[in-house]
Amino acid sequence: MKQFGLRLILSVLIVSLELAVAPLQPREQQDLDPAQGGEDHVGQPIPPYMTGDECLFCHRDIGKSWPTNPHQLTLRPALPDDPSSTLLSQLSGGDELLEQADFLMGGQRVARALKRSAKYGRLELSLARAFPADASSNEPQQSAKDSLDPVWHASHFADRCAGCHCTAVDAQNRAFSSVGLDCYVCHGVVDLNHTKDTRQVLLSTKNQPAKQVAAICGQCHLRGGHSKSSSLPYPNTFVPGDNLFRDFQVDLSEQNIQSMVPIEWHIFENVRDIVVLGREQVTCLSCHQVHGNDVFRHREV
Amino acid sequence: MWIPKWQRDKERGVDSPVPTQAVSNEEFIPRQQNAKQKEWEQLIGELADEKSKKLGMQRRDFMRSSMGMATAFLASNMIYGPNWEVDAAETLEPAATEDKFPKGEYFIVDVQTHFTDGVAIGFRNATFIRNMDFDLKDDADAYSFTNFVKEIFFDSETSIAVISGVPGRETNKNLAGKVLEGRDRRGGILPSWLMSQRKEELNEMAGGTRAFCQGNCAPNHYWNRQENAPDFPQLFEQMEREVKKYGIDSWKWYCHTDPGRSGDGFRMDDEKMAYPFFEKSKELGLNVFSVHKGFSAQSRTLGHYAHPGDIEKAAKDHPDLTFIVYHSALKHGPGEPQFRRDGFFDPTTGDFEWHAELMKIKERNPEMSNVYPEIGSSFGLLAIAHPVMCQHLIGKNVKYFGADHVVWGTDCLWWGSPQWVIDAMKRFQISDELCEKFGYAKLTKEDKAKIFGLNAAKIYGFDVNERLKAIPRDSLSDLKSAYLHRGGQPDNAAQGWVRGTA
Repeated sequence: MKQFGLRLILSVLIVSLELAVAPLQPREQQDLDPAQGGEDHVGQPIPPYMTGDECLFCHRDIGKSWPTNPHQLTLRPALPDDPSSTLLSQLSGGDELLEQADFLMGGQRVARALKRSAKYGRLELSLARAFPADASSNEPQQSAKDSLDPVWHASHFADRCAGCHCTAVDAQNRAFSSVGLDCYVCHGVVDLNHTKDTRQVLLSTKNQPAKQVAAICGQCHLRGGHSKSSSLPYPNTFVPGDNLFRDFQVDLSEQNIQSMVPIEWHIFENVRDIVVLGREQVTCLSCHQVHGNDVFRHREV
Repeated sequence: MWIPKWQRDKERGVDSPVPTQAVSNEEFIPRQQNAKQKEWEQLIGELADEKSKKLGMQRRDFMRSSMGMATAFLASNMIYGPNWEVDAAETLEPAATEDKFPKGEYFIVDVQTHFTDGVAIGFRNATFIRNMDFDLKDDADAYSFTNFVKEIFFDSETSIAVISGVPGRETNKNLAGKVLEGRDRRGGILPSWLMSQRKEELNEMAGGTRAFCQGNCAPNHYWNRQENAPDFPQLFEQMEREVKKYGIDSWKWYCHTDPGRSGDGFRMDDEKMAYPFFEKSKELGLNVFSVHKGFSAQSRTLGHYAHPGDIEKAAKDHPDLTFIVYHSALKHGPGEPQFRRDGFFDPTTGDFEWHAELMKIKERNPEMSNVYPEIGSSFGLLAIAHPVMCQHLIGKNVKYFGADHVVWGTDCLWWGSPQWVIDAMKRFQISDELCEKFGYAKLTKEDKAKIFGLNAAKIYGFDVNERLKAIPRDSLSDLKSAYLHRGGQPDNAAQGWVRGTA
């Protein structure tokens, strides 16, 4: 714990120093175009990739902690002891809803239930929503029974959520190939030989090109963006290593950033610094250790 | 402050060949060493001091010998009760061990052995391996087929090995429709084509059967996304290839993995997915299904498919098939945080998660004779981390399934040469107290002989007597003799757990 604390303090100091020095540096003559350079897989089939269960056969240390990682919980089995189950069960018709549900989504701001579709790579989303008591939402609690028709929506999840709650969504038919976020989402197509050269695993070290890191994290954390080609609110066949911004449109303007809530502001500003201002000293990985469940630690701090 | 166990041991002058406390994987706070663990550790030190002085040896050298290992087991028995068969004489005289456990006493068939296709995967550097003071190499060579031959056949008493599959599937054709061969088919760290190739090489080299191999193909490996159902033509094509071309001897299923990106795992009792596979396999003449059950944390979202509950219907509906339940469905290994959670193990019943479900299946169906619990990793890990649970594992397996249905496996070379697990089984015994309280039977040498190899021989259908005659005269035995004659030793020989004369 001491080591972690020390690392955290050092990281904060380094980032603070870099942020403090940054305004002193001469501003680039011209903003960079995020869409320039790199490649993309827009419209192409999802490439073959190693699935997480194959990865976890070897990476057993990750398997131990991953079940509680927030990235793993973006979509999770609808278990009775999940806090979202408790929330949803309090709705009118909630118990009936949960009986049919296979998965849960959300929880901090709003809890939703989903069930498997007969179609490949699709889930049906319940339009019933339950809000935690301390959620800062003005929306009313919604009944699972009375107000919704249909209770289970066939395409809502695919149209709006799948890209960031599932893995490798085919933009043509909006079918995902894996429930939840698989290793591929961040680490990309990994060859077996990565054991000899771990640089083949994207995000495996902090020394990744900053724009690549921003793209990988940004594919989901840049909320409000949309794909130029598919108009979906998530990227079109983004393969880690691609230039996200060739197809994914995000408003990185100062005006937009200033209007955001702090968490969004933090993300957008850092991405903007990298892809528009060309400041590559600080990336998401400078502070965030995804496998280390540092979101929880952040909250503790 | 957290310190590594080896560092603590060094500072305290502890050099036990067995870990005397639970070891943290750094994802949870290690528990304080409890009073019994302290007592055990202290006793090992005292006994080692006394005996090494008596023999005029350095204590460290003493602990590296078979006498050191016997001392650790003896001390364990003095603290925890009689978990291990060990005599005081063994702590002073290596020959006593040789007399008690002569080499070749058991015919050993290991149904769970692995190597990789040239990649290092980190298992041999696992915490529990380090804490046994093993110093195993963990590079690509260490996981290679060459080292497999050395560690399984030369460094241990194993006579026959089943090369066992891991999650992964082969790609049949390239985008142009051309059928792929060999490495172009990919298939993960130990693909079916490679297991088959190495089995042939081994048997050719030996001049007789020394290896069997498994095939990784499973019902969700080839998927028709339009119909959201198995792509049976592709699946059956691969099955035929694995049986006819590769000559596999068993399937190896991981129901909780999805290398074909079907979107889900599968149940063995799924009549639409698994049953057509069973029927096709029968048609191909292959009736052995080895299924990973337990160790559920090896899946990101599909761990529940590693539950053994689906075996009951599958086995009852298919009495002509044989099902080997790998790991005896131990849900979590001692290295996983869940292992230590309340309720995982109930000392009042001796039940632990998922293994208990497997036992209940047999209890409900006493006539069911085609299910065999296998003990790879479960036995070895529990033997060093939780001897009492280990006794319940074997005690219940034998009580419910019978000694003629428990199958030997080790998961090696993930954990180095299997000799240390073999040694532990030779010394293993169930205490009088547990026998009385839970109705277990003491394990006889006959029981151990069945577990070590005779049961697997029945499953894989070979003549043990013929093999017993042929193996000592085959080329692999000649090579082993030459290797030992030249002073060949297992990597972990010097650390005390494994005798160097294996």
